Parts: sequence; structure tokens; C-alpha cells
Amino acid sequence: MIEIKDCVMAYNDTVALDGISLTIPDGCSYGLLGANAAGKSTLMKILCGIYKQTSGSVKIDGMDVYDNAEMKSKIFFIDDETIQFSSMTLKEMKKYYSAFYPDFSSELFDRLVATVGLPTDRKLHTFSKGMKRQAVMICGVSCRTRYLLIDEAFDGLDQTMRSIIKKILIDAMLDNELTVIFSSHNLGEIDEFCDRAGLLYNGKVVFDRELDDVESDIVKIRAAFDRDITADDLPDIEILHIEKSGSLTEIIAKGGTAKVRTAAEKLSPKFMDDIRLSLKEIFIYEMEGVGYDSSKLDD
Amino acid sequence: MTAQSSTTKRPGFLTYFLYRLGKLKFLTAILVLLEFFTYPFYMIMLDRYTAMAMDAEHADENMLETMRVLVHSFNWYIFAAAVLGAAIVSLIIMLSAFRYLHFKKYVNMDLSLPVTHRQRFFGDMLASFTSIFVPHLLSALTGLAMIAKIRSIDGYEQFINDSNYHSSSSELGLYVAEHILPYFIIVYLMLYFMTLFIISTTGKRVTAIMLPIVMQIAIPMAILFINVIAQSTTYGTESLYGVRFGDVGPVAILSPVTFMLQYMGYSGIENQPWVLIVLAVYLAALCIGSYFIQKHRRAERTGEAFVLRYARHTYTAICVLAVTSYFWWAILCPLAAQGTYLFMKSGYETPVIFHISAWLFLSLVVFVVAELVGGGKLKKLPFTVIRFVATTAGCAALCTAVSLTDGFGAGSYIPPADEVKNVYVHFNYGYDYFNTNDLPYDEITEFHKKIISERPLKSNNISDKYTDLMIQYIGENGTVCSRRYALTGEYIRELYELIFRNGGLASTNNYGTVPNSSRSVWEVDVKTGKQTEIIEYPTDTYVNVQNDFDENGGMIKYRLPADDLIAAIRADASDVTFEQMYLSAYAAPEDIIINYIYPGKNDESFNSYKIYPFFKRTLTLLENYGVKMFRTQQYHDAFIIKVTEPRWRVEVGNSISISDIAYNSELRRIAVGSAEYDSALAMSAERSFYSESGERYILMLVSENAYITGDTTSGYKYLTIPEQYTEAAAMIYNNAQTDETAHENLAASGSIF
Repeated sequence: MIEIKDCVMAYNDTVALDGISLTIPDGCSYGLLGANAAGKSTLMKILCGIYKQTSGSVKIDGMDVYDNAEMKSKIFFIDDETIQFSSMTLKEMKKYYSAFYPDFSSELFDRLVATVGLPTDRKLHTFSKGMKRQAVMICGVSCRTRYLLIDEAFDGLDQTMRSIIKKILIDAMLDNELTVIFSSHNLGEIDEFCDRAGLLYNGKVVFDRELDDVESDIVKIRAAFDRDITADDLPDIEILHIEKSGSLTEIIAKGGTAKVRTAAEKLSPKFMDDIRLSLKEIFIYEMEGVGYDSSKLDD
Repeated sequence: MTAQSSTTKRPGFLTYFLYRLGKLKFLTAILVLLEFFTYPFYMIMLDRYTAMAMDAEHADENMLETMRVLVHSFNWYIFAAAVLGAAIVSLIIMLSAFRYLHFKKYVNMDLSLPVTHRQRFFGDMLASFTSIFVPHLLSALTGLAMIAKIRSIDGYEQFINDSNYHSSSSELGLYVAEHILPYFIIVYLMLYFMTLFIISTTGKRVTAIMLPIVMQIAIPMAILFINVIAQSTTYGTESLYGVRFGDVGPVAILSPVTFMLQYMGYSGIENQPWVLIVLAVYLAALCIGSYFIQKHRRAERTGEAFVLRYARHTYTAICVLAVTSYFWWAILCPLAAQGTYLFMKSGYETPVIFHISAWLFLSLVVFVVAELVGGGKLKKLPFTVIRFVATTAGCAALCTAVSLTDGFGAGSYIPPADEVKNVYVHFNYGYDYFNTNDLPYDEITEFHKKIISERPLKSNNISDKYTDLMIQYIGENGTVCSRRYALTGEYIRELYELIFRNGGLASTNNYGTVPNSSRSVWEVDVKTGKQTEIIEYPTDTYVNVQNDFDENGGMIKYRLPADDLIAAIRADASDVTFEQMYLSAYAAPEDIIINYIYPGKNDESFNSYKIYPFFKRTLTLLENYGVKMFRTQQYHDAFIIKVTEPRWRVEVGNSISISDIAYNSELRRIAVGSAEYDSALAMSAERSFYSESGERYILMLVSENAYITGDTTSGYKYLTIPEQYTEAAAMIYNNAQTDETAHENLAASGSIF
């Protein structure tokens, strides 16, 4: 389990993380959301022991990560950059990682490489962007660590490459008790992969919840009333948004489907229907209250 | 698929070290190639040359000479170029090993590996150290092996003893190779650990490459010139003959450049082995400092010029201090402790304002460049200006403090008695030169303290006679503390009294060290290494006397029993009194050289002694064997010529001098028949003395065979005017006889003043 308490990361005149606290249980697939320069990469680098936090504690399985070789052998960090591997071949990367990660699986590595059809004797700088990403992902998965941290996993990749990489990750997650942390500014990817998500904004965590709970809690209904309805007409539920469009009124509220429907039925609508919200819509309405501009997140 | 068991052994230091070593193999191979062109290549050439020279009768002389030139010049250029190339590759190796310090792209890759900081630091350090020093040591060991090989060549010792042109060249090459070998290793160690420390404080490639190079210039420059300021302006450390540039003492360990200058040029590391211990501690401190800097530096600061808070200011200050110390040497030296100027006196004739302007300008350039390279923000101009002013003022204050505090107390320092093994005194006065044996600490220090408290300065009156006194305290640990003073008047008398209270002339090194004509030779058993002392007596001796030449211009050899002569000299020296020596300081002794030919090895050596006119036993013994000394003192006339100033405008017919003739081409044409400058004549004419009012005189003597001019101020001998200028000398003599110039008959006198 990953436990982050009051973690502050400040350098020069910048406060990248301002006292964040998070708990990520084992086996979880966690999506770390935020716009560019929100602090996602900084947090991931603290989690894998590259950076040391200015204050606060960051523990994995109850142990500090920084300068802890034993703990670091259970964590693999996949950077969004691949330039550091430019002069290496896949064969050399296999040798490199197998030397440092005790649970590295050569068999898994060879199988994955063969599956995606990557050449093992060519230097990585001759690969396409997608191929480089695949190569690094295969190395990460083959190390068979308990924690996999992936920074901007699918950034810049086409749909085919995304599918391949997703399959590699899903297989690995299904096969091992693997805790994966994705960082992304893409809500759709997080929605697709993750069962829990957190949002970083101004160095703080403004959102940290199971996605199923989020989706089941916020409801959108569209109804036709014989008069204009305001939030005051629905005191039993927490209204996030009311908008009238022609004869229809859209109500977005918290409380779950049953509760919201019950409250709306008291106003005797001529017509009522509940509509599933996308994660982005949830974020837009949820985060408006804290001043976060959800348009920074991609679909 | 099941997860693999995690009972597999975790990687540790060895895994990381081998990985890093493997990454450096290409650069190591380049280094091996470069190192071949240091010792191995040089020794191969020297070996080849020696073999050819030993077989000279079958060797082609042109080829032999070509090889000699290759060994003694061309090869050293290759050696130096290879060392420079190796130093550059070594820097690249270090930057590659510690790549995550300066290359942002490797930070995540390297720092996320499951190794601790300690494993990573020492793994990278050991890998880079191995990559750099294995080729280096191989080169040095190859050199050492080949030195031994050459020395063990059958007949090599005989070859050297033949002392011909090529054998001397061969032996010289071997000597230099042997002599620099320890420094070849030590300097590299210093460069390694200094560079490790510097790159640990930087976060950018540019600074990591430039800063080690800049610091290897700025640090020694600051040390050397602050030392020069100290030598020039601290009472007692100034040399009357110029600064001992590079003689900086133990602080030399701070830089490879100063280390080489100090211990190759002055002290010798073999004389002060404790320095190696101090150096080892210093390098260990750099290593430990590097470890902790890297441990605590923030990985996110990679990409910034410096990762430590005040590193930029420190390095900038060192660069500004280097510039400041150079110019403040010239600014402060008019405050020179003993009123003398250094050998670069002409530099001080430039107005001080020029030095100050140049200093400020160059300091500003250095400061701005350092700020820009170091990531300083010149946008905050007021703060930058304040820092510049504070930096330059601070450096100037440090240089000035060296001078004002008399070298931080060095001027009044006398080593304590329990740290001193021997005390020696060296001074000259007139023709007397004293190089004493060990003197009592208490007596010397009492005199020394008197000098320190009264601070006599060298007189600017050039007619004042002075002595250049050096006091040397030799420490128990081999250190040498020297002080030099220019003394006049009663101090000189006190010095003579001190010498004569402690054994007199016979106790000095001039007379005290050689009891007889024997010598000690040490024979080494090559099998056991045991050394045996053998006393050898000469099979033949002969004596040369100063200015005693045969018709062919060679020195006449007189054969007489050397041990009897030495005994007579030592007895005469023992009898010399304080009054005799002090009052006759300007009576010139003459040199006698005793030559010894030792058995078996065709080996000659010699000792020389100064014989004074009051060495009665010695002169009597010499006369018995037909040796006459002090012949040139039998003058039948003498006079003093006044030199008019300026020398180049002289009135013909009044007193004219040899110097006038030397420097005035018209006079020269009249007197000598040539307008060309003649160095022999000019040298003769330079010997002069001064009256109290500063007028210049030359003493001219007329002896049986020649005219002789002399100088009574600097201890030089009387010089016989070359024969081709006899007419000019005669003209001067005759002119001087007829006008009002001072004329003293000194023929009967045994002393001049």
C-alpha cells in the first residue's frame, strides 16, 4: 500500500506539491489526473525514489522509498521520455534491467517482444515513437515489480499503439498482483483503465475517489415541468447544475439516481429520464465548485 | 503465468560497479592508447637510443643524433600531448560515470534503479577510478620496468662512467623519467579528486566541463601570487635576488600545479614524506565531501549550473582572487618589507593607477562571465553590482591583509626549539662567504629576535655595504623555515662575533666538512641488497690556483700531498680571529682547488677552498712546492678614477673611465679604435664603488703585467683589463696621474679600506 501524508515538494521558488495526502491500496489501478505542470510527474518521481520530498512522508508497505534499494526493487518507473535509451538495443535493455531487478522474467520479455514484433538488435533511436513506448513498457512489465508507475502512458500514440500497450498492461495486471499508477491529462484513458482516480490542482489533491462511486453518486436527469424549476424547489438533494433548454430542464445533482428521481417526481414532471454522465462531465460539474477549469483535461 | 519468486538475490554494489565499468570500456580503451604514448613510448625510444649509443662504433652517427633529439625533445612533446589528451579523456570518463549529475535525460533512468546512494556513488567512483588509473598505472609500471631494464643492461654502468655525450644524454633521460614518475601518479590523483568534488557541485554540462579546467588555473594562480605578495612584503621572506616563484610551502597540496612547482622545483617529496600523508587526508576529504554533496543534492536541480546554494559565488570569488592577486602584487610591492624591489622592478615603474584600472577591468570581465555561465541573473543589477564590489573588495582586502599582517605573522615567526633539528646561517660580506654548520639555537634566535624587533631595512644608499643573511631552521620533520635579511653596520659585526663564538671559520662548511682526501663509496650487493661503506683514498692529487695559467691558457697543475695541504688550511682557518676576518672582509681571498683521482674508475672529484693572505701555514706549504698565490696583489701603483655622470656624456681630457669608454662610442673610437660595443670591456668597466655622497669611482691598479680594475662592493675579484685595451687603460692612468682626481698609492697596503 502506498501512503502519502502531508507531502510537500518545493524547490527554487516553486511549490510543486503542497501538503498532499493519498492512500493507494494494493492491486489498485490508480489514475493521477492533472493539467500540465500540476505535479503528477513530481509525485511519481517521489514515489519511485528519484526525488526526495521536502517534508511529509511517503511510504510504500510502511517503508520509506528514498535511498531504499529493497523498496525500489519493487517499483518500476516508466518515464514519458525515452531518449535515455536511444543508444541501447532491446537486447541491452534486457540485460540492463535483468541485472538490477531480481524478479525480471526473460521468458515474459521474449514473448512480449515476439508478440509485438520489435527488433532486438537495433538501437532505440531507430524506432518510431510508438515502438519506443512499447519497448519501455515491455521492460517495465518484464521486471515483474509490485508497483508500476507510468507517466503519460499513451501520450502521442495512435490508436493501434494504444491498444497494443493497453493489452500488455491489462495482461500484466491480470497476471500479477500489480498496483499501477497512471498519470495522464486524458480523462478517457483514466476512465477506461483505472478504478480509482485523483486530481492534482495547485499542488493539492482536490479529488480522490473510486470512479464507480463517483459515477453512481452524480446523476443527470432531463425532465419537462410545467413551470421553471430552481434549486430551491429541490431542497432534498445537492444540485450541481440546473439548465432549461426549451421545454426541457436538465438537472445534475448528487445523491444517487433513486434519490434524485424521488425529489424530482415531487414536482410532477410531465416527462423524466436519467442520463449517464461521462467522467469529464462529472469533473466539470464537481470541480467548478473549487475553481478548477476542467477544460484542461482531454477527453 | 505465475509470478517469479522474489527470493532471487538483489543486485548490490558489485552489479552496479560492473555495469558502470562496462559502460566506460570504450573510453578506457582510448585512454590505454593515449597512455601508451606517455611512459611506454618514451622508454621504448630511450631504450633504443641507449642500445645504439652503447654500440656507438657500429652506429650511424646521424641516426644516433636523430635518436638523441627524438628522446630529449620530440618525445617529451608527445609525452605532454598524450598526458593532456589523457586528462581530457579522464574528464569525459568522470562525466560519463556520474552522468545523472549533469544530463537530465539520465536522472530518471539512473536514480530509479534499486541501488542506494552509497552503492551508486562508490560504484561510479570506483568504475571511473579504475578506468582512469589502470591505464595510468600500467603506463607508470611499464616505465618503471623499462628503467630497471635499461639500468641492468650489461655494460651500462661502464657506459655511463665513460661520461661521453650520448651516455650523459641517456642517463639524463633515465634520471628525468625516474624523477617525474611519482608526480605522474600523484598529480593525476589530485586532478581526479578535485574534479570529482567540483562536478558534484555542478548540475550542467557546461559548468562541469569548464569549471575543473578553470579551477586548475585560478587556484594555483591565486596561491602563487598571494605567496609572491607574502614573499615580497613580509619582513624576512623577501629574497634579495627575486622571489622564489612556486615555493609556497605545504599549501601547495591544494593544486597539482603548485604541487609540482613546490616539490619538483624546491623541496622534493622525498625530503618531506609527511606531505604525502597530508595530501592523502586532503584527497580523502574531497572524496567524502563529494559523497555528501551528491547525497544531499536535489535531483530536480540537475540542469542548473550549480546545485549548492553558494557554489557560484565561491567559484566566482576564486577566479576574481586569481586576477586580484596578480595585480595586487604590483600594487603592494612598493610597500616591500626591506625596501628592495623584485627582479621585475620595471613593472613597478608603471603608475599604480594603471594596475588598479587593469585589475578592476579584468575582475569585472571575469565576474560577468562567471555569473553568466553560472546562471546568475544579471537582471537584478543593483544586487549584482553590490556582489561585484564586495567580491573585489574582499579579494583586495585579503591580499592587503597578507602584506599588512606581515604574512599573517610569518615575519615574526621563529620555529620553537623542540621542532628544530638544526640551524644554519649563510651570509656574505665583502669577499667573505659563510655557510655555517649547525649553530646553537639559542644564540641564533636571540640575534634573530633582535632583527625582527628592530627591523633594519636595506639602505637605499648604494654606497652602504650590506650583507645578505639567510637563517635556516631545519625541522625534525624535514621542513625548512628560511628568512633573509639585508643587514648593514653593527649587525654584520654581531654576525661575525656569533660565528667566532661558535667555532669560527674552521667550523663553517667552507672548511669544516672535509677532514682529508678520502671519500666514502657505498657498494651494494645485488643479491642481498646489503650496502657496505668503502673508504677510498686518491691515487693522485693535484692543485690548481686561481688565475694561474700556463702559456696555453690551461690551469697549471701542482702536485703536492693533499692531506698535508688540507691540514694546513684547517689549522690556518682555526687560527683566524674575529678581527682578521671582519676587518679584512674586503681583502680578496683566492681560490685553491684540490683535485683527486680515485682508483679503479677513472673518477675525478675536487674541493675548493678560499685562502686568505693571513693563512701563513698554507702559503708556506704552497711556496715549498712552487705555488705562488696573491701575485696580483703586488701592485706597484694604484689610483682611483672618478666616474662622471651621466656616463654617456663625458668630457675628454678630464677624468675618464673604462665605463665611459664602454658606453660612449666616440670615446671608444678614440681610445680603442672601434665604435663597437665590447662586452669584455664593458664587464670590466662595471665594477665600481660609491662614496657616501653617491659619487662613483673605479679602482685601477697597475701591476707588473697588466692594468687591473676592480669592484669593492659586490665581492667580485679584481679583473685584468684585456690586453687589447691596454692602451686605453694607459691613457686613463696617465690622465688620472695629471689631474686632480684622487690618487692613492695602495701598493703597500694589504687591504683597500
